[in-house]
Amino acid sequence: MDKSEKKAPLVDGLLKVQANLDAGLKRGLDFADLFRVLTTTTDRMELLNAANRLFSFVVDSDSVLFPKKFEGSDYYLIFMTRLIELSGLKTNLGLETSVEKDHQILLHTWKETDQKFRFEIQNGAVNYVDQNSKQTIFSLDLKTKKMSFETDTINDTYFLNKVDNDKVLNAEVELFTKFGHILEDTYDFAVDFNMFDTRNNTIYEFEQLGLKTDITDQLFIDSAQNHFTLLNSDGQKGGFLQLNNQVIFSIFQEDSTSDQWAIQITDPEEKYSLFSVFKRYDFLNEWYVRNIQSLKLKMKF
Amino acid sequence: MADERMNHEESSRDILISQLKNKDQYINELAEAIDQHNDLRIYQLLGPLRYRDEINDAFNLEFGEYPFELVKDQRQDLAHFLSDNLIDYLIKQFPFFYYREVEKGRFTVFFGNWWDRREVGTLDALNVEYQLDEEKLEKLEKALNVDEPDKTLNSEQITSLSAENVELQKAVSSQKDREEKQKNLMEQQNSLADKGGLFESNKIKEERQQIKEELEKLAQEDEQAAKAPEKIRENQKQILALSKEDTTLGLEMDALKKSFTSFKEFRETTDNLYRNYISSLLDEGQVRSNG
Repeated sequence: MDKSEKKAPLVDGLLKVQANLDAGLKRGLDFADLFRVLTTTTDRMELLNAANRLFSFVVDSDSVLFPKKFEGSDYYLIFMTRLIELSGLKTNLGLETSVEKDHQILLHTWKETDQKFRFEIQNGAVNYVDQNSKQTIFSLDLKTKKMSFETDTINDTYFLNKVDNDKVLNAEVELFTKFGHILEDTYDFAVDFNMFDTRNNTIYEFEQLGLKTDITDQLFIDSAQNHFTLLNSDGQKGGFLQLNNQVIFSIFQEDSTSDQWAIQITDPEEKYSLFSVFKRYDFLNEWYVRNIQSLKLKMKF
Repeated sequence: MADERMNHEESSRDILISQLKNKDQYINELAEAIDQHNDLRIYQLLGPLRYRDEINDAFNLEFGEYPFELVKDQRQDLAHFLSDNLIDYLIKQFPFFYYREVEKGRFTVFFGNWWDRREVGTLDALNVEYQLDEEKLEKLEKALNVDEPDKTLNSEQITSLSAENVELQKAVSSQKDREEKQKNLMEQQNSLADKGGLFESNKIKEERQQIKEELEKLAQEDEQAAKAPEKIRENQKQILALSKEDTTLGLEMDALKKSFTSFKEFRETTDNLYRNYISSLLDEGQVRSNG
């Protein structure tokens, strides 16, 4: 009997282990390569591709386990940080890592506050979540190229439970919307800026169909008390206010069949969003808060 | 002289022909006036009697008193045609009135260009007249007569409704206190029942009666509090309607004051629209022929 014949299964087994180790290490190297691209590339396309691949990359194999790895959504955070950095934006964002049971996670901090943000995977969506309030600020999908700000969070944070640090909030809104614009310009993302869109052609549709006349009547009364006149729209049901700096605030029935109502803000330089108008005019802000259920904005996606 | 009819027929024919020629001339002149957009002439042809009575008593009624009867089916078209210049004129006189042509030659008049502005009447372009809603204008006049600062037509009513709502709100929020009181009273009642029996003292009877009354009073208050939210909503609705009316009237007053020194002057101007407008057309004609 040839002994080598008996030995063969053992060697085979070992070779298999060896192959698995190689494959596992190779996967680790691939991971490291992608990670290097994500953290160092200056090519924006490479950056997006790396983030997308890492998001679904499983680095652990049966043979090789890597203890220091992130969750898929954390690569979104690195992506966002890098893209902002590449665009030369000055921010108060900082990076922080924290170790959970079997992995580490990445967080954004905001200078001089105790605020923290993190991308979390919730019901299949990747949400940028304020860690104190646990509310989603925006959802991001790098695969389908979509970004969308959350109506409820905007209402809660900026209108209902007003926090005292307006300055920080405004700076955050500014950065996050800029990030959205960069996504649009660089990668052709579809972005729903919700109340933060300054473009004149933005129609802020309400989630509810129909609008009680009480609400427009109230706006008419409140405006007059603040020396503005809600003027009657000629072509459609609704009215408009001529605010300062040639800003026009219109509330109108966009579609008569479905009774869809909406607001539109226009100004010559496209500097004002619905949000900035609310924040500039107390009476409009109060009117919105009083009728927030009826005036809640519809999310586009 | 057997046949007198000949003569009769001849003369009636002449009359008939001359009458028809007169009508023909009327139509021709009207058409010419329209062609030249000579609105003054159109108004003369449209209502010669009125023109004579109100503008020029020497005016010759060459086409009779009511010649327009002849082409009265052209009313709407002519009204539409005349409204062009008339409304241009009216916009200068009453900058706060807005016109909507609801059908050809028929105009609705709105006061202002603001939200839910009031529809205050119609414009009759052929007769150069407003048909204004007197009831609506009376409200404006009343509002103008409120001469105390910070007061409006509805301010007293709004204040009292608001005060009522504050009271109603108190009734709702004192629910807890009432429940507490009720609980205490019932405990007292029970402890009195223990002391009772066949030979109840007058004092206990009195106490019992007092507790009963207080409980009834609380029940009444409860009942009112239960109705309060509904009543509060009703009042709020009424406050909104009253504030809206005040706001509308406020805008109307501001607009009116920019063009007229008083409500009376405004009404005199609306009432004398025909004379004023025709005079302005005459002046224009003068300027035109002088220039």
